Amino acid sequence: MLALNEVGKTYPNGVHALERFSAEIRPGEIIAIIGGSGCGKSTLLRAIAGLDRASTGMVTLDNTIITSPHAKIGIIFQEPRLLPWLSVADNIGFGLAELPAGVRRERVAAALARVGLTDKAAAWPRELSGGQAQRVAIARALVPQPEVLLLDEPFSALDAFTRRDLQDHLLDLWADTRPTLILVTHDVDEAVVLADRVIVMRPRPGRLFAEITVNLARPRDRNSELFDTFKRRVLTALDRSLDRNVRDVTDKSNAGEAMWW
Amino acid sequence: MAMTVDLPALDQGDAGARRAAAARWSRFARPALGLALPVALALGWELVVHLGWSNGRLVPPPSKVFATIMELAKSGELTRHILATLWRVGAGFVLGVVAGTIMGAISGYWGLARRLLDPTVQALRAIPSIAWVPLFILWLGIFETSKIALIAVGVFFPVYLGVMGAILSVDRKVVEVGRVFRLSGFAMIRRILLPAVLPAYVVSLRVGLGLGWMFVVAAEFMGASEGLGYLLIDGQQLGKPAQILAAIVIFAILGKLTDWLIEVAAAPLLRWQDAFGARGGA
Repeated sequence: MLALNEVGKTYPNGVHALERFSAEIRPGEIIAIIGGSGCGKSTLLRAIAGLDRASTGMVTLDNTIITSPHAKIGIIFQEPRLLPWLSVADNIGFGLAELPAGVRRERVAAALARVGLTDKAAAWPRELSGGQAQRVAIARALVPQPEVLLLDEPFSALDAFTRRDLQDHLLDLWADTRPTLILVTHDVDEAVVLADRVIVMRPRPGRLFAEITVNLARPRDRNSELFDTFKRRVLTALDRSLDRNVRDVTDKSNAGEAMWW
Repeated sequence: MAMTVDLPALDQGDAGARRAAAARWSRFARPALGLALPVALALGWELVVHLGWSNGRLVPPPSKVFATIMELAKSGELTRHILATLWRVGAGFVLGVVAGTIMGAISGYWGLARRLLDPTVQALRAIPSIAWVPLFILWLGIFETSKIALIAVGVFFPVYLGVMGAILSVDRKVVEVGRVFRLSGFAMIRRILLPAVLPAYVVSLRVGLGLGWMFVVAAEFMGASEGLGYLLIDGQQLGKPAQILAAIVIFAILGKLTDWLIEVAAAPLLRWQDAFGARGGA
């Protein structure tokens, strides 16, 4: 269980990025965090990853307080961030340095096959397309078998087709070991197609605005009416989150019905 | 209708042959292109002297320079001078590189050391290194030590600056990848920082080596009894321009050769680079 307890962050330059954010996230749950810019989404993710320390509150994973990067927490960034001097295979195996070479090779080969890039094992990162590079980044993060995988707008730099492709692929990979996924995104479509729960945040300072449970069976049909209904709920919450005069609401699942449009 | 054009097998073979020809062209003809100008100039001058339009006393023709080199080589003099110079450049280069790398790494990695050390190093860098010569001779004597010290000083600065700059400009995002995988300080250096700074480091080594060659001449101007720099001075004092040119030509060859050695040694480590130059440029 990943628990966020009143996590807040004020940067040294005085920017109040995140205010008392609390949430409990069950193992295997997929959470999408969505909100306008400056609502502390990335700050929150970096605090969970242990890359930045929260100013107030704390992040705990199975009762361990997270203050620095943790073996059970992986992260995928907006850019693939592959190491240009390592081959694709060595990039994927980067987090397995402690394992014996034979085991490492096996796990890397399996991961390469799983993301469909076996033929690129010996290629340099510069020889990959954007989508391929991000797939390598996903494989690199998943190969140490994290319990929590954080994704910071992982597909936002890709074209629409590749993005869809990778969203489906991510779900597919997730099903293998079912880690907790926490995904920061700008894309309502992406949030609804992936998440069990969509958390809408409001800016300045960043805090939780609304929570929408997406109880749709997977695989989800992006063209179904129900899908649209959930999308509209998220959109409405997003719209309202940007209106500074609105009271905070933390409504579950029926958020949409309470709103007018 | 689909707009695919299937080449007949024959044409494809032709295209293959053309590609092979193009590859041969880029492998042999392109370097040859660089030789065209100097060779033409040398031949031109040779012709001018041969036709008697100039006596070539102050600017001896290539054949005379070549003859001088052969003469020096036959007597064993040339080897002695080359070895003396190579030893000085080698020793000075190694000292300069070791000092520059260590201090550059400390300044780049550790902010406090940089604030403490860097202003002084930068101030020293502003001094023309030749200005050290009298002091070095007083301190270290007229023989090898002062010469090697001067060369080491020349090599030190570009290596120091290159290493420090390279470490400071390592992408924060790549370092963060190391943090995510919980690399310890040493592993972070070995697995992230070192490979990231390597391209810039190789460049700084090459710049340093170039300066090493420059400074060995200055060092050998001050009272050497052997070395290529001594050949220069000796040629001037005895009025032997062919000997001066011979020494200059050998400097050029050795400089290019040692630079090429660094390049070749580093090439396997830098294959991953996606550089403009690696593709042969435009």
